[in-house]
Amino acid sequence: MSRFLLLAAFLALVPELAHACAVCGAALDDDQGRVAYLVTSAVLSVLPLALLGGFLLWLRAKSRRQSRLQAPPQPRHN
Amino acid sequence: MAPRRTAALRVVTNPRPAPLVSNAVLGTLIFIFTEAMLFAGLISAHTITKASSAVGWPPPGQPRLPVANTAVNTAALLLSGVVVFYAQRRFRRDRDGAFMPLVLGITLGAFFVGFQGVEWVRLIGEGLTLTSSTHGAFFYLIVGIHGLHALGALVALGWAALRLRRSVLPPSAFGAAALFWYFVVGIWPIIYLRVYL
Repeated sequence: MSRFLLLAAFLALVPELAHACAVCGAALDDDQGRVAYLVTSAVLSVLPLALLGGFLLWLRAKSRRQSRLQAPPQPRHN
Repeated sequence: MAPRRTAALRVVTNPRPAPLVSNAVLGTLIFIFTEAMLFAGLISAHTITKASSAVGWPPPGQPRLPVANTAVNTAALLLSGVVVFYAQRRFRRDRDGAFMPLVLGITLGAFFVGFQGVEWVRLIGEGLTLTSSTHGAFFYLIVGIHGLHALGALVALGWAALRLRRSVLPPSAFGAAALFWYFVVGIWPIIYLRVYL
């Protein structure tokens, strides 16, 4: 009995060796999962800024184009 | 008696300059931004679940998605986007001439939605349902939400076509409907690459 308790205590101290994640199994080999977390976090962080930035740049370009079209013609000097 | 002061008469011919973006287009853009974040969240959740799956993806016992058939459907949707873009360009020069390309674009879009429906019926028959696995849940959620957006955009384009037929379609309304359709068309290849492949 004491041997089992000792083994249980040992396994509790080294969960990585014991593959103690009985629910998801992700601890076995989860490099892909980690990369997916990182990449999607980056995408979700940057996307709103990119959308807003793109919209503002588009507005700026449109405003400049409109100003150019509405500007009075420059007088000619001979 | 104090002398009366008179001010010079100022004639204002154009008190409000034309806005850079019409209200319809701005409202659609704001809506598109929120929907882009919705799709980004769903695709991110799918990507993480797929990458972390301990039993492989798709899970054993689940049917494979129709990659080749959907590729053809994707081509139809992309072509629809190009045709609607052409209709919008044509609308600026010749309003009546934009009607037929617009109807063609709507028809291609309707073909896409109908074909998706047929594929769904087949997949449900093969056992892929919303509750059969995480794979099925993500598939129906992401593709279903996209389908709802496609239906909404088709209704908007159909409304624009009817107004165009009666020559009462303002450019801003056409621009807003077309913009929403471009979003539906533009987001689909990302969904196809992430969910189907």
